[in-house]
Amino acid sequence: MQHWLFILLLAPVTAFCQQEKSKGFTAVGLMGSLDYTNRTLDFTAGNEWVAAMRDRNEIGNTGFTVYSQVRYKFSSRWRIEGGVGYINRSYKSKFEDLHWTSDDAALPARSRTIHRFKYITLPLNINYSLYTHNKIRLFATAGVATNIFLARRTKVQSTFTNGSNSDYAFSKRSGYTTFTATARGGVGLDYQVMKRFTLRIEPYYQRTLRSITADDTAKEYIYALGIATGMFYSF
Amino acid sequence: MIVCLLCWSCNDDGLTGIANSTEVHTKLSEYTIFQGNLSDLSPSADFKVYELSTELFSDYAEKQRLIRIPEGHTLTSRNDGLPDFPDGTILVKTFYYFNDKRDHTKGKKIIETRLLIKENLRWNVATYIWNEEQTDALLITTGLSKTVNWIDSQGKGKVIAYHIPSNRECTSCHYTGGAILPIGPKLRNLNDEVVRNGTAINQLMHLYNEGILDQVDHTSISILPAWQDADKYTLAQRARAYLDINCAHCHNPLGIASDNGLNLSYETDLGSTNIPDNKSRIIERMETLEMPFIGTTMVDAEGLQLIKDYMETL
Repeated sequence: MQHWLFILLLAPVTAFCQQEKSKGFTAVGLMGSLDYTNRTLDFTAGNEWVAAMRDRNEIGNTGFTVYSQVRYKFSSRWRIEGGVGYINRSYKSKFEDLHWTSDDAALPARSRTIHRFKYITLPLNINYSLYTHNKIRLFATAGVATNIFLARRTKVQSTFTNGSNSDYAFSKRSGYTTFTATARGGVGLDYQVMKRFTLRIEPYYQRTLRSITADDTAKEYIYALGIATGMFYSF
Repeated sequence: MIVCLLCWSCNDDGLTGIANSTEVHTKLSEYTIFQGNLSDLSPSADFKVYELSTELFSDYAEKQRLIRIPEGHTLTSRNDGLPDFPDGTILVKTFYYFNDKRDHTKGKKIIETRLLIKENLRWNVATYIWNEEQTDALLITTGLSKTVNWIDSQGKGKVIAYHIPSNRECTSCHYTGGAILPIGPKLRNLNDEVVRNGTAINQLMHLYNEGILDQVDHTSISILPAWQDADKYTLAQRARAYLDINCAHCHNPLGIASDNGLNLSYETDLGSTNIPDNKSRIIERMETLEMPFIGTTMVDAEGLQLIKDYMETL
């Protein structure tokens, strides 16, 4: 059974020995990245002290992205890549010391709060070939994505003097815009590992064009810096 | 791309923002609500304490409620709901935690004070966050997560990401039929016995004596049961009171959740509430903290148990 499955999976790869088509839908891919994510704040006058306080207390955190893509090639250099995926963006507060009116060692000594924002993403990118040689293609991408907000998950993490942790988490949806747009740019490398399979590595930067909050007095923009990696299968 | 543009033009965050119609002070002290050391929360002469028989759950925060009515005016009673408030009324709610709930002498931490101010027939909101020194509080309209810790009545340390609401959040809960209205001080929620100057007295009578409320026969006003008082009220009464104060400000025909068919107001007949058809949904949403939509960051364990017990009887 396992042999048959192996042959079935490899069949598309071995059956045809042709290069990627010159035009049309030419490939599908699966991409993922571990990202550094953070936010910038744009608060109106009167709330700037809140933004300053948050900037002092909050720092970036790791997030991640996974998405599948379809590639449409319309010339030897230009491609459009669109798809659907999931993104997780985050920032957190610095650890702060907790003050108690008791010396009980069972009370936590420090805590921090981690916020995670979860979205379905619909990216649409233009991909331009900068340089192609044998199995290597160097490219630049730029594009936009529409993100659909799922939830904000907040975790409060407490640490004890003995080094152990305890935490609790909750999710909320209110206060965040359902749809946000992000701009994205990157440069990367495709490496054709087999006739139909191409590996991709692409450092990129992404930032929301629209505040993730609906509050006009407190705009919040999330950005991410990551290295996307994945594989494409050419038709 | 057209779909994307349509999506981007949508600004739905589940809240209803209503702008203030009057300027509010940037510092709480400018209202002279408290006299002496502000952190003592000792109200000045114009501000009177009031209590609710059943309170909204706010992450176990303690609350002090005050009201100021302009001189020469009173609240005008209208059945057992909200009275008419004259222009110039200020409702004050201060949220704080005792450092050790078992021993109040160990002090408290004041987090925020929320004001509802009636000017030109409209209610306006203002939220003030207290500074670390507890000497004053600053206006905040954007909302903020703040680490708060205290020792609860069982001696356990609690650490939460307390959420101070934005103006949008304030006006969403207080939204009724296109306007902002107070939630708590309905006459039926004030119609309870309180202790003033060491003497037990009906609160409506006390407010009349203080010149706050017009004369009202408290025996003709219904009572919103104190949901924690199992000796005095039935399970159904307590559960319905809990749902009224915690949920009904959105889940009523004029609230922001009017479209989902639930009407959780205490005065609504059970058959018209849609509670029996949504038993498991209500419990699930409370357990996952999906509800309340805003205003809490932790599950109200006692309240949840009350609702579970009640749902089992339906």
